[in-house]
Amino acid sequence: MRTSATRPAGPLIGVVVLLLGWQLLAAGRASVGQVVPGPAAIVGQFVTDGLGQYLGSAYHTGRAALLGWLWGNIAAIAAVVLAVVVPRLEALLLRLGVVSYCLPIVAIGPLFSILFSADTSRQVLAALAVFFMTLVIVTAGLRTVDPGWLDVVAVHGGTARTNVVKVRLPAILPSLALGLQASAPAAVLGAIVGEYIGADDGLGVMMINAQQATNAPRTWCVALVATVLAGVGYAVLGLLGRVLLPWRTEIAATELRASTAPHGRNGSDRPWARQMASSVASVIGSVVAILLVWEAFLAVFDVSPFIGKRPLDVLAYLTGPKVDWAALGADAAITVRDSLLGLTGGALVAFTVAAMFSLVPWLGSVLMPVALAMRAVPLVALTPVVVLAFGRGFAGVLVIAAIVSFFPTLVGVVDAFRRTPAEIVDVVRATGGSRWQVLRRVQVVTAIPVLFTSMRAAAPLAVAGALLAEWLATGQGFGSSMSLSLSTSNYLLLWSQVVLATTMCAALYFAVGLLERGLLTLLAHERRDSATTASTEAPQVEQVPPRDPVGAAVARSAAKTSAPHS
Amino acid sequence: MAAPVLASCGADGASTGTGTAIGSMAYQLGWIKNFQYGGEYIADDSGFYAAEKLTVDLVAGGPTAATDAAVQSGKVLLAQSGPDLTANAVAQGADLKIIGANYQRSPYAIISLGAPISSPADLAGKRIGVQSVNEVAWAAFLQLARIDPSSFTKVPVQFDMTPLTSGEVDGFWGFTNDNVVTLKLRGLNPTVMPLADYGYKIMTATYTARTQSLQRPDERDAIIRFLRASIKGWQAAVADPARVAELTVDKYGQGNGLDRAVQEASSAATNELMVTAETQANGLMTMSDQLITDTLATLSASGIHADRALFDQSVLADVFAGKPTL
Repeated sequence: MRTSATRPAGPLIGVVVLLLGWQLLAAGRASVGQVVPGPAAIVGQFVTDGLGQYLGSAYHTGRAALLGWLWGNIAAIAAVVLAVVVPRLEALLLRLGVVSYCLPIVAIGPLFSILFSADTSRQVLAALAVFFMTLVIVTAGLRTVDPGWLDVVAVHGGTARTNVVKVRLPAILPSLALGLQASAPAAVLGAIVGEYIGADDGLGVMMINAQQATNAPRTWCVALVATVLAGVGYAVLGLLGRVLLPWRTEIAATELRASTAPHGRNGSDRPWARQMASSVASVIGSVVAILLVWEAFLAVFDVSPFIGKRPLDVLAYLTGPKVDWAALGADAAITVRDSLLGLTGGALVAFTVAAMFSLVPWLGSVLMPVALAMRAVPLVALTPVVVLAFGRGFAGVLVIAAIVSFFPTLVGVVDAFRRTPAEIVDVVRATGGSRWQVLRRVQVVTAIPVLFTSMRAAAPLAVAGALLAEWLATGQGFGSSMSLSLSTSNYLLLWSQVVLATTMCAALYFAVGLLERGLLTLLAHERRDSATTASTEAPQVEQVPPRDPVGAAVARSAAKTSAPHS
Repeated sequence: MAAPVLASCGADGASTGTGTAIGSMAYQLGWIKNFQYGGEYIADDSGFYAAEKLTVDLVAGGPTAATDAAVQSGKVLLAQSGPDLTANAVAQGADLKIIGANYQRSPYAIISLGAPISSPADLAGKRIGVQSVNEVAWAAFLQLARIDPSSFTKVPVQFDMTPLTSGEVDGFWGFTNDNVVTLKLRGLNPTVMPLADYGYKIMTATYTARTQSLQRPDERDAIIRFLRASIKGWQAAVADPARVAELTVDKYGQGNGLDRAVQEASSAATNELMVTAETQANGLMTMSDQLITDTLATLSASGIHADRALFDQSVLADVFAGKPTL
């Protein structure tokens, strides 16, 4: 990257400053030091425990993550192939993916641990964490197929089959490599969450024991080893991708742009009413598909009717006399509030920080690597720290929900700021514009669509963060009441809560997507209007190739790496 | 009765005809593998299960393990649970029985480090950390000990004791045989108020089975063999906490960062919950009539309605066959 090339010492200084500050803070206040031990205490614990202790646990977690990564990616690839062969299914599969991304782990994890062995359960959670990320990245790759190539095939008398085999499937390969790479950290964290729910071994079990023994340095050692494990998976797959597909990065640049820009599949030329009708039909189709998957899941795994409730059971419960809508409504209101404020708060802070990094570049080069590393710290380990600092009230939840949306948004927006076309910046600077004016008049406008894209990816995370905080810290909202339903064996209520929380999360995801699309349309119109007069001043969002495509993909998928903490 | 043609729910072994004994079964633990299952570790390691021609899969639980559901769904033949959890599951339609009680007394306690909380009156004005899973039990305790819930502040916590050691809470809901031990070994001097001393009388760490398993001869037989071997293991565990620690740290919970000293001290502290005059007369795990009556009263205070049919004393009667030790 540019910054690290010109200032190789930047990241190093950042790490040193962070470690020093951390050590001073930990030593300064005993109550902080207990939860956030200083680096010295953590290193000391690591040395005392010995590398073997951590390697052993990391092996079990790594194995489960690898198998889950394999299964999740096989499922994602199967879904993409299906979408290639039957293009009409693409939107449907993506919606199923969103739902899989939105399922509350607080409730789903324990159900899996009853259905499967502990070892299978953590693999399934890893696979679930992987599925949506690969699906989204590879589907984005699908859309980048150059129509010209399809024309070439048509001109030479090729069939639809030839199109699929010769053009579409090969075009997926680069984005597939990217998906396989970006989903590796997600698999590790999915496996750890599975272990945290209950397993024989692995980093998650070690973390439970460390927490139960109130051994904060060891908890942090485990979190750091998990971070390293995720990072190693990511790096190895990145290397493999570069060796096997040397042209990958170039192609990835175009496809990621495509994935960033929401596409009007319905075509904007069609009348509004028909578009609307088509959307409604598509949503109904998706709901039906989700219900079918739900039924099929219960049937295939022969789930006991005591724990596995069917769609009709839930419908009957929710429309029956037993349901306590006041309680469900109160939970929903709290969780919606926590998620929304966390999402917007996290995004606004991220935008501000990214702007600061842009105005003061040395600050960015010092702090950005730290931000990248912090993205991988499991939220389970972070929650007690946040609670100590911000309390168990609204502020604590807000901070936890905001932290999960902060990192992906920050990485996305910083990337967008960097991608601002140099010519436009030069024009502003040449006409006497200050750095601040460049930021205000050019970069912010360029970055706003990216902000919304990042927020869309972060929306399910904000909900997951809110649920986690409600479960572990405040004892309010769906996060808390789902764990209560579980401990009172009220599975009908639990499934109803899962349906409501998942619907809420998916609705938030699509609502941010609508905002994003509306905004892009607006920007496109404005650009068209001003194109004749001041073409240089209007940033041409869609023509800007990202300089760091993998980083941008990671930004988006960072999302998932910190997703399934519970 | 007709010759039992059995589906082997919860038991992996062949059980397709009369006289074919179940050879393997699964026991769902309530927590990840630590000292709490010392008796089962010894029974496994010393060959007590093998002597009963049983292969036992000890299935690890964890912070959110729903163990009654694991039994009810047929995943395992037996599970560790608690009467409140099992009674709730039964109220939701599960057909389960409690067949033995590892702990004769509740291990629950309010643990304090600063201003000592040694009796319910000391709760006034304090901040008390209670886990969401224990809220029902907490409400029952308040009622049984006649404490006004508004006289103190309840703070949601998890099992990590940091809120207590950092002073965020004054009192912490924990276990006499676990949290207290950990704190003492760290050189702290916790004040312990066992809830059992103030009306919260309930058996816990109970064994749950499906009613139908107790009725099917081969499954009942497997359960009896399992309990016979496990109780032998527990007799050895009570006598030798060091052995429990060794098996926990070096074999069953190996590699998970458990501390040998803590495991041994916890195992020793567990004896106070397991061994009473009652168990010395009638054997470990015993559910006396009085204990069942007390347990039902405590459940009732928790707002959980259950009756004596929740308990089945006949399995232990078959296991001990009139003797207090095996």
